[in-house]
Order: sequence, then structure tokens, then C-alpha cells
Amino acid sequence: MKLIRAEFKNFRLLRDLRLDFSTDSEKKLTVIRAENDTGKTTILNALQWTFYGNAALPGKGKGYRLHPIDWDMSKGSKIPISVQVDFEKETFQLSRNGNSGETTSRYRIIRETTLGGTKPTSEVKLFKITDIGAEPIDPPDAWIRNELLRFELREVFFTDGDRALSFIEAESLTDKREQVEKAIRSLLGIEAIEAALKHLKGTTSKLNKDAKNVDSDKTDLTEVATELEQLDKEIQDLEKKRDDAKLQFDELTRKLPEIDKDIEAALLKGNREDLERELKQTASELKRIEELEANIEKAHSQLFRNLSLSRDLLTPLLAKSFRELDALQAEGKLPSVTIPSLEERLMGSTCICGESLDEHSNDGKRRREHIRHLIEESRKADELQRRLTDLYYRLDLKPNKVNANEHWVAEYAEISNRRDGTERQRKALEARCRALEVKLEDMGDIDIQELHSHKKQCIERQTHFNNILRECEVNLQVLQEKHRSLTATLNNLMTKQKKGKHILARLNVARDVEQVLRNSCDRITDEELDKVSTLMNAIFLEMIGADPEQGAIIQKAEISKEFDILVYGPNNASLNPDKELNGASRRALTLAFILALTKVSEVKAPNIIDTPLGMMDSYVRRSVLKTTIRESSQLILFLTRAEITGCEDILDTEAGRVITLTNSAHYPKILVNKPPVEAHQTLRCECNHRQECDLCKRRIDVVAETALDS
Amino acid sequence: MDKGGIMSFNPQKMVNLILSELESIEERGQGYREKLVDVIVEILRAEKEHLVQSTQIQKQVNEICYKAGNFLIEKLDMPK
Repeated sequence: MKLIRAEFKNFRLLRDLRLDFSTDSEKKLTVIRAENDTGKTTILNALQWTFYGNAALPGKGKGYRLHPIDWDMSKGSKIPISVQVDFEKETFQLSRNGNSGETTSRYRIIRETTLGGTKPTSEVKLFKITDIGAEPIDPPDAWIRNELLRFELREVFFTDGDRALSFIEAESLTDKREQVEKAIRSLLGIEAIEAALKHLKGTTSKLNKDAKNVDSDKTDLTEVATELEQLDKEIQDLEKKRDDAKLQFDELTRKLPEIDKDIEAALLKGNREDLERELKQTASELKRIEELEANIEKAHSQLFRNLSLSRDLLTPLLAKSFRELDALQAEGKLPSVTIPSLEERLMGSTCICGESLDEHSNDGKRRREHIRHLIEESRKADELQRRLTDLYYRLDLKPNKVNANEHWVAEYAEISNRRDGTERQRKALEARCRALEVKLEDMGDIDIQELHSHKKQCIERQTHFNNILRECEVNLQVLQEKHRSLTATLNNLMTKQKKGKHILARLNVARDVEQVLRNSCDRITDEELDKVSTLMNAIFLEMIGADPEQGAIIQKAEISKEFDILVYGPNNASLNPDKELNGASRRALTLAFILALTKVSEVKAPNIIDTPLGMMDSYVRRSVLKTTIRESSQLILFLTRAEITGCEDILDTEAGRVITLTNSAHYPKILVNKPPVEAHQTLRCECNHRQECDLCKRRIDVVAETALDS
Repeated sequence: MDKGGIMSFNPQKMVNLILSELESIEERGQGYREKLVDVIVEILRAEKEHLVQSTQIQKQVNEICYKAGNFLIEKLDMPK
């Protein structure tokens, strides 16, 4: 199938747009250059809507607006919306002698709806275009699904750069596997064959039942047919049991390495119990150190009561004081001896001046009174002198009188050292506590013991299902051998009866067809899946420029028998494509899978890809572009100018058609010139990836040009 | 006969695969293997239709096999 052209009317931004696609097998690439918000995704949706209706729209069309957002209701309350696509399709012809050939026919599909009209749902019409006109095909939906592409495959061929990542980015592994399996089984035709095999089994069972009733006399034939019927049921049950066990066994086999990885990761983070124990010990040690620190602090503060420290601190001030005291002493003012001398005089009968102090004489009494008065006055007035005297006599304060052992510096050094040491210890312990707390927080609820116990359970279950599997296979072999023998007997008996002959002939047909289809299915599953896997790997490594021989980080990609897309690094280490690949590699892997699947299935259908080169550097972008062109039968790419940058030369040689789309609503903010329409709509010009015209010239280009000119 | 829509898998490739597998089937009567090609194509077409829109598929497969069985009887009864 190849798309020839598409015409859109009033489909959101696509009010009136026609796109022509390259059908040249030499230049199979069509580039639609369009910036963000220009209608690229809308075109992709509109094309899918044309073939598959609302079910192919985002949210199955629920809440998805089909008409232009700024529709002028004065034009009428009904909005006619339509998309018409012309395409060609090869038809395979097979003759009885096995010769085959292909003829190409042209078709036109039109899907239309009228919003506000009487028909709320869309209507599709399909025509085969012949020399004598358009021949309607009815019913079109069934033809599209049968003859074109299954609905489920639309993401393989209509690829939205982001949405298609669901092959490797789905919520769960099961979802991803289902997506990949569905695409592979559908495109390789496995599901139709498996369904046929199931129904052929039904036919065989029915025929065996018929065989039972051939002979009314209940002779050997009836007995053998009954036994065979019973055997068929037993085999069927056993096969189901085997398949269930295999499913479980495979699931557990896949799960075990994941548990190992979880255990490994958890061990790297540490055992929760060990961490909690360590945290407790560290916290306790921290408390002890904090107490020690408090004691040292106390000792430190007590140091300030130390006499030698006080003296040293006051030395500059005291020196001056000592000098003053010495001066006072030299002047005879210190020590203060007035009061003791006077009191001494009072104890005698003669004054220091030689006069009598006889208390019985008047003069003596008077003198004694005077001396007492002097003593009292001295006491009142000379507190300062007393203190000075006191100070003077405490000569041991002088530096030369200090005992060296009492020197505070040594004590201070010892306390400081202890204090520094404990502070370092405290800080280290605090940091350790914080680190342990973070580790514990990071661990969440991971419990290594629980993981080990889970692993043990998985291994036990795996062994259990493996035993069932082996047992079923052995029993099946026995039953199948018995079946073959009974079938031969039945065949022999049936040939002897007319009715039996008919049943036998039908049985032979059913069995032969079953054998052919089973072998074909096995070959497709084994050989073709291998081919898809191998080709996907080659395309992917080429796209990202990874050379395993040169020690590239990404060594290999493959599709497992369980339909998982797997990526391996050095030493065959498994990488999670979802989490361990960068954005460019994830896109490249998705494209590689799609291209490999299309190529191996040899289904000729266009690959229409929206913004495939986003998030890629220049090398990967060029490589992805070249590979995608090479591996597609018809390629339609929606590219932004940024994606095109650096790939112009490839487009020069490979593109059969390049057109540019512009959103009129981008004027005047982004577009330089006013577009020739008033409404918001996508407009087309014939500019290729190197050109621009009045319509598509963008303001950002003008800024760049101005900058360059200046 | 038009076998264009056997399935998504390239029809030419599928037919080649089926034809090669048919070689291992006993030629039970003249034209039997050729007949089986028709049978397989018909069954797969019916299955494909059934995948798109539910049909009485078991009945259809039975009838296809019965018809081919009758063909085989005719061939076996023919004087060699």
C-alpha cells in the first residue's frame, strides 16, 4: 500500500489542505516540514480517522474536537468535515499451480461527518478507481480491516514519535510485552494461524464424534472412536495444563533475575536491619560524645577562674597598678599604719610626740579623745587606702611569684585539644547519622530478608511448574503415541464402511491442514521472530552508532521468545530500555523495532512518522534518518526545522517531495508576513527544506539573519 | 483467485511458506495438495474476517474441511 494524496476539509486546523506524497520507489521519502502547533499530529490523527473512524482518535474520539476551533458560526450551524485519501494497493494473485503475481489498483477512501447535522457519526466511502470510473466497495470498514491494515497495527505505521514509545515505555513489563506481542503476532500473521489451529481441532473432535455413530452395532469402530474422542479430550486438557505451567514457568524464569537485581541493588544500599542497628549505635555514640563535650566545656569555663589565667589576662593593667602601689609605698603612704600606731599610743601613757596621755589629767584626756577621733576619721575616710594596702601586701600576685606548675596555658592547651577532638568526633558522627538516615529513607520499605524469601518462593514455584511441565510432556508423548495407534486403527476400520470413508477423508483434510499450519506457525514464530530480532539489533546499533567491537556501552538489542525488547551492555549486562537508555536511543530502538517488523513481514505499507528525530544529536539524527529511509517502502516524515538542521544533504538526495506547512495563527508573533487568510488554519507552500517564501518566512529566522549580518 | 488479504504478513511470503510445508503432506488423491492450498487460504480468510467481526467460524471451518473431504472421496473413487 502507498499513499498518493490526502485532502482535508475543516478537520481542526486543516480547513482546506491537500498533501501529495511521493510514490517514487527510488525517492520514497516525503518530508512535511512544519513547526510545533502547525497541525502535524492533527494530520496523523486525521489519516487514522479516515481509515479507522473515531476509535483511532485520542481517547477514542471522546472529547476530541474535530472542527476548527475558531469556526465562524455565521457561515452556518453545520460544519462539514471530511478527509479523502487516495492510495494504491498491490493485490496478490495465486493460481492453482502455485504461480503467483501482483497487480496494483488505485483506491479512494472518504470519511466525512457533519457536526450539527442529523448524522452524528462519521460515514466512510471506499472506491476502487478503474479506467471506467469509481467502483464502490461495500462494506468499506471490513475491507479496510481485511485487506489493508488491522486496527491494532496502526501504531506501527502511523507513528507518533512519543506515543510509539509505548513498545518500550509502557507502565508495566506486561503492558510492554503485550504491545510488542500484539504487533508481532498480528503483523506476522501468527494469531490468525493459531485461531485456525484451534478451530481445526474443533473440526477433528466433531469428526471423531461422528465416527463413533457410524456403526449402529457398537462394534470395534464405535469403541475405537469413543476411545479416541476420550483421548482427544485428555490430550487437550494435558496441553492446556502444560501451556499454563509453561506460562508460569516462563514468568518466574523472567522474574528471578529481576529479584536478583533488586537484591543486588538493595545490598548496595545496605541491609535495613544492619543500617538501623548502625544508626542506633552511632546515635548512642553521638550522645556520649555530646556529654563529654559538655563536660569539657564546663572545664573550659572553669579555666577562667584560674588565678594564673586572670593574672595573665590582667597583666598589662596590673603592672600599672603595681607601679602605683610601689610609688605609694615609696611615699610612705603604704602600708597604712595610722590606725594601728594610734591605737598603740592609746594603750600607753605617752603620745608619740612625748606629751602625756594620762587619762587622769585633763590634757591627757583631751589628747586621748583627739587620738580616738583621728582613729575614727581614718577608719571612715581611708577604705581605699586599706584596699591598696591590702593589695600591696598581696605581693604573690606579681608574676615572678607564680608557680610554673600552675600556669594556665598548659591546662588551656589540654582542654582545647580535647574540645577540638570531641568536636571533630561529634561532626563525624552527625554526618554518619545523616547519611544512614538518608540511606534508610532511600531504601523505602525494601527488606532484603523479604526479597530473599520471595526469591526462595519463586524458585520453589519455578521448580513446581517445571515438574508439572516435564510430567505433562512425558504423559503427552505417551498419549500421542496411543492416539497415533488408535487413529491408524480407526482409519483402517472406517475404510471398510462407506460413511466411515467420508468421515476419514474429512479427518485427513483437517489433520493435514492442521499439520501444515502448525509447522508454518512454528517456523514463523522461530525463524521470523529471530529475523525481526536480528534486524532490529542491526538497525538500532547502526542508528545510534554503537559498535560492540569497539566497546560500545550498548552492545546488543533483541526480542525474546516472550516478546520482551531487551538491551544489553558490556558483559551481557541487561539494561532497562525504559530507564537506562537516553531519549534518543529509546526513540531509535522504537523505530528500529517498527522498521524491522515491517521489513521482515514484508508488508508494504507507508511509515508515517511524526517528529522522529527529536532529542537526537546530529550524528544519531542523520543515522536514524538514513536508516529509516533505507528500511521503509514509503516514508512520510513530519519534521521541524530543528530536526532538519544538519540533514539537508540527505533530504536533497532522498526526498521525492518536500512541502512546508504554516499555521496562519502564528502571525504576527512568529510569521513575518500576514497570511492571505483571516481564519486560523494550516497553509501549504512548495518550499523545500532549504527554501522559504513570503508565506513561511518566520520571524525567528529574521532575527538570526540580522544577527549574522551585524 | 484473489488471495490479497490473507493476513497482514506478506501474502506471497505466507503462500511460499505454506507451499513448502505442503510438500511433506501425502498426495492422497490427484490434485489433493492443490486443493489444500485453497482450503488453507479459505480458512485463514475466514479467521481474519472473524478477528475483525465475529462470525460462525467453527461452522465455516467444518464446512471447508467437509467440502475438501468430499473432493478427496471423489478423487479416491476415481479409477486410477
